[in-house]
Amino acid sequence: MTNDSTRVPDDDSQLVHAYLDGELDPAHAIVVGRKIAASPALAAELEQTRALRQALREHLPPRTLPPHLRSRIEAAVGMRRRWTRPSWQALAASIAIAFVLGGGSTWAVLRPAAGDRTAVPSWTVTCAGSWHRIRPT
Amino acid sequence: MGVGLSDEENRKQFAGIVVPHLSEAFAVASWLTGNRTDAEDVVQEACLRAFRAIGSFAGVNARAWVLTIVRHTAYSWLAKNRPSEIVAVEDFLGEERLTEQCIGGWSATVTSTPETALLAKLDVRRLEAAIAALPLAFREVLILRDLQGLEYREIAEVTTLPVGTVMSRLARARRRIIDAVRTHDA
Repeated sequence: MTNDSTRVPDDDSQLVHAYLDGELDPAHAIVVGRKIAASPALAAELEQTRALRQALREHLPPRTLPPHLRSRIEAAVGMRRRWTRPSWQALAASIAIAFVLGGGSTWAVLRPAAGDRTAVPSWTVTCAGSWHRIRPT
Repeated sequence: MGVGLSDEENRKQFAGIVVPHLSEAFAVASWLTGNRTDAEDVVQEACLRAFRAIGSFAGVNARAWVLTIVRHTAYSWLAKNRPSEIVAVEDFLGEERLTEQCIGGWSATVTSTPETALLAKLDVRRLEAAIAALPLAFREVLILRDLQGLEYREIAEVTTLPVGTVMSRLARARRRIIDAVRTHDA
């Protein structure tokens, strides 16, 4: 397996990667290009690395930013209003408040006038934010 | 908070410096942590750190600045949640030297290019598994170069490594993936 004629010094191998990545200055690139042309092992290294780069670019699905993360971050730094899902307790409390306010205002409108003796005390129930009078028959 | 800047000014700076690089920050965090959920935590924490430090941005390379913070945050997260991932790179280099002594070095086998065709039709899962199996020190360099397209000097800035080390780690990372593909196919 080991063969001196095919062995690539580590430094040369690294330079092949830098050559492929366009990271060498022009003079250095010419020198490394000549080395690659003269060495089948370096040429193979170059081709394999080129193929790997292409595979990485073409085969891997992008890791796209989830939209909710962007919103969360913008809210965290105060760039937008933080929206939070209401809890059940908060929902229940707001419904209770709506009942009380709605019921209270309906009662204020429909309450018997002072001194109205004909008004019959009634059972009252709350329903959908309104007071309903139920007269016994 | 930025030094001497109002909250409103900090937010403006954040919108101009950090927000344009959120997608890239998330991609890097995903590759470093290995999954999207953990990456979300890392990116959010990194953004809070960036917001608090926005006044210290020198105004040269926003992308490298943001990715530096993301990398730092990912390392902190891994140290806390998966400390086994944070292994001194010397351990891997020692292991590689030993392997080279045993088999005469990977480069001895680079004489033909059957892997070239193999890589061209490589399926996604094998490629992702090979990247995930890379030690963190090599994986991050590969991600920053081959997936995010950073130049060596930018990678050196993000990782605080010398450019020569970036170059050698990148070569080793790529070689490990090619070897993994070959081993898998054998």
